[in-house]
Amino acid sequence: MMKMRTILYAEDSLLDVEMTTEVLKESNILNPIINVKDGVEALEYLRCEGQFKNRTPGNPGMILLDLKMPRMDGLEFLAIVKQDKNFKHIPIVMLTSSREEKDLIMSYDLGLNAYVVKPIDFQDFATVVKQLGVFWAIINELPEV
Amino acid sequence: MKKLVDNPLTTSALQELANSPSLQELLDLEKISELLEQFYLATGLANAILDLHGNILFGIGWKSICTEFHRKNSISAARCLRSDTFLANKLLQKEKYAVYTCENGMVDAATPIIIADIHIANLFIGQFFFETPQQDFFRKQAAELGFKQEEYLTALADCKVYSKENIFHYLDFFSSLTSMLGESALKTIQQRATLKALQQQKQELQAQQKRMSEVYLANEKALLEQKERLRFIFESTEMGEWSMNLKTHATMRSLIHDKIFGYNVFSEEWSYEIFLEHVVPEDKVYVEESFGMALKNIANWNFECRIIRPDKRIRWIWSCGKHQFDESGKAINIAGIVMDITERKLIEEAINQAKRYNRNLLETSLDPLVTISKDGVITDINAATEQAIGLPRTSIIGTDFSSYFVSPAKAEAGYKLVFKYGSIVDYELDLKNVNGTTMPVLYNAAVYKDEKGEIIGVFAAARNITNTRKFENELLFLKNNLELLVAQRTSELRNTQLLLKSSLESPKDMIILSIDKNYNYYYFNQAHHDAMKYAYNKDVKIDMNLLEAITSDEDRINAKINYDLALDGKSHSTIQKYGDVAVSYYETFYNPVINDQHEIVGATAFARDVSDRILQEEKIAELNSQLEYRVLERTSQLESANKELEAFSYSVSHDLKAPLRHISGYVSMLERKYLELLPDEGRRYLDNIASSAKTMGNLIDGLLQFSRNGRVPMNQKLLNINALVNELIWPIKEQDTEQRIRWSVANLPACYGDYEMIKSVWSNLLENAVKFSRKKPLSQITIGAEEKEKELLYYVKDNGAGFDMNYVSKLFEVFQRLHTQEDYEGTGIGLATIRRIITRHGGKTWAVGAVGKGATFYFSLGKRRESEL
Repeated sequence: MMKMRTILYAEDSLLDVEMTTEVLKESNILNPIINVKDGVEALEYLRCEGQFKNRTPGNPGMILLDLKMPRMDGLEFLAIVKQDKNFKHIPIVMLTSSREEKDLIMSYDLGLNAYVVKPIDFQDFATVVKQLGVFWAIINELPEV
Repeated sequence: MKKLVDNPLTTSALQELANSPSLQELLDLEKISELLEQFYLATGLANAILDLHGNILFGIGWKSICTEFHRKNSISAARCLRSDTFLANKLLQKEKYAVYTCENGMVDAATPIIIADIHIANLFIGQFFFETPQQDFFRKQAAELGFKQEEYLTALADCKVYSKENIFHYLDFFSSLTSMLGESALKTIQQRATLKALQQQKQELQAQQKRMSEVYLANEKALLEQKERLRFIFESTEMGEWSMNLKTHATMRSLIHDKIFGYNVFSEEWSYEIFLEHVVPEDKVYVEESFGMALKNIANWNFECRIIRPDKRIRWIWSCGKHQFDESGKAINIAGIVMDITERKLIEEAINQAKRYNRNLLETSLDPLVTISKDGVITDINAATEQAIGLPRTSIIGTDFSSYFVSPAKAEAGYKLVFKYGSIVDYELDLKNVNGTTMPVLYNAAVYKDEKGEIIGVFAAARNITNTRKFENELLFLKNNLELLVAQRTSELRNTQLLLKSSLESPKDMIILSIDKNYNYYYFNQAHHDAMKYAYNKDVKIDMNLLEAITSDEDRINAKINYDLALDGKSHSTIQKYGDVAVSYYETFYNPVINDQHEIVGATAFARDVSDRILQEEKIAELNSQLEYRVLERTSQLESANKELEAFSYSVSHDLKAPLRHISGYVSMLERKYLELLPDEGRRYLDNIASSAKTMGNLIDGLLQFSRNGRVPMNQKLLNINALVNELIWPIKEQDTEQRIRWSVANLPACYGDYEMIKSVWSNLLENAVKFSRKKPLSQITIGAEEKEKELLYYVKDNGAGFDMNYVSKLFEVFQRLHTQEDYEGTGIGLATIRRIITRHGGKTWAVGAVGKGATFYFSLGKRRESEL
């Protein structure tokens, strides 16, 4: 059995994290999920710095990214990661409450792979998260690093 | 002085007029002189009126350069004569003006004065220049002719420069004015001629009267002569004698008696009765009466009668008989003489005829004639006098003559003059008519004498001069009128000058000046003088040079540039700073001065001190920049407000929705994991929480959409509305498996708009139509459009719940709902969004409906062309 890709999930709302995690579990997506609170922590994870200094090396299979976070928000993080040759191939899915046009455009300009508005209805939310997990964490093929 | 050549074209009429001493009268020289003097004072132009023989009728202002130099030197005087000749000849060739630069270098101009189409005189103006005289030419001329150069040039400087246009205006004005005055004068002369003719007639009439009165007197004299002759005849004629018996009427007589009766020999018998047989029937009664009277009164029987002789010839006889008495004193006989008086009678008849002829002559005269006795009593009048006085002659003869005049004293005085001098001529009196009118008359009167040469009375003939008086009055009126006209013209001219001067002077702040090509002043007004004083402390004078008067080098250069442009024919204006001692901004308009030959002869400038305005403009500019700053400030405030609004929308969409999602998510998780632990009521509570969260989520989405529609930029294109609407209907039809909705879609014209926004409008309208008609067994949805002149009108009509028109105003407001959430779910944002979008597109939205009867929603969009976008 091939190794399960890690999902890096940057989200400051613990409630969202719990809900998302629950949905993924219910959907039998058992990939390991690393939750970070903002862009800064997400970068630390990728670069194996700070609290992640000693983690097992390797890039996550995908990054689920919230747009609005403290310290470093989703767009700032996106800009840095997509410029970094070590990380630019990691698929990043923006999962956000906002459907502001400028956020959408900016995200894709920065090299985002998918933009998903979190549905308010839980059932819809669950469906979306499940589909995302299945596509990006399982189906989508990535080049070897 | 000027002397003109003889006019070769002179016609006899012209000559007569021109030669006539009345030329001076024709041109009312006193008035014209006054005008020309005014003209000279106003313009400084020398002028003169000369008749065609070169006689100067009037002249003023001759410059010393001509009077003291050119005309005094024999060489230059000869040139003058040639120049004069040239000018006069030119005018005789029917030129309207003649302008000539004389051989001595002076400019003269002349125009003919034409009265009643006859060229009668010339008006000259001269000794001026059209351009600044060339000093060199005159210096050379002074040397050539031996003039003292300095004096000569001083005299030259006195001659001014005028534009040709002005000179021609002056010439025009004076020649037409003079002609006008002349023509009025001509009328006067014609009237004088008429009067003269009238007077001539009058004199002729007077002469005729005189002849008549002479005839009258001669006839009177003849009468007297005849009387004398009669006496002679009487004395020398044979007398017949007769003696009649009063009883028997038997008559003894002499042979002469019988001869008188036509018998050369004694007839056999003679008696009173036989005598009566010889008397002509017409005289018989008279004879018998006279006989009866003589018998009755025993008086002399004295009578004249006609008799018929046997040869049928009628003779006049005169007889006178005397009674003869017997001793007892009883009349027994009448004895007398008889004479043939036929000759005398014929003479008497001739005299009477002459008298009647005289009388008729007098009576037919239209002039009132009268004879007055030595003591002033009227002895005879004619019919004209009767008419003039208005009384029959019987009432007039024997009365005092003076009582028939307005002024009896004057009449008496005239009467006395006649006695003093034997006659009077044209003695003016006014005859009174009994009807109250008066008649102005001229009396001609002479004394008449008897045969002894003693004055026995006055014969007077009056001449009605009412018409003459009328003429005189008219003449006087015309004369006064003419004077009035001249006075009027003079005052008009004066007014024009005043007006011109005052119009140039009256705007105190308008600087006006003109210069010639050498920048020498031609004219400036007080405002310019004051400005020069203020700016450069210079008292400018008319003979100064403008550029030299400017004390600042920089200003002089600027002024020269500006005036040179105008002298080059370019009108332009500037706003520039000028001044040395005091600096001001002047707005100046420069224009070339062009004469009628289209030559530029100078430049004018109209200027205004605009320092105040410039200061105001500077202040305005400052205020403007402040305003710009404020606008920027306000804009940035607005921009930041916009940013805040965006940030707000952002947090609404992000931060507010997150908790909702969490509520929804956790409710959902609770249901999944722990539903069986909850009683039914708890489950219902969870349902309500979930539903409320969902509603709030929709509200937030709607609000965001609404705010976005107001903010995002529009991208307008021509939209295919048919396609757009079909695209929106299609999914609804898909879901409507039972075909409960009946669609009626008309052809919808294309319109300009932002695709997403217009789509949102249609989407909202269609959703509403479906939603509010879903409780009907069958939904009827009609979609249509109307193309109007300037706009397109679209509508969506349904047969649903409709609405109360009382609340129609609330329909399009945000969060306003006319139905309960239970009946028709909704956010209350749809129609507000529609209105916002259509308003941004420049259109209108409205609705018509009734409760339970459906509703129609309209919106309009302006028709536009691609180019207007």
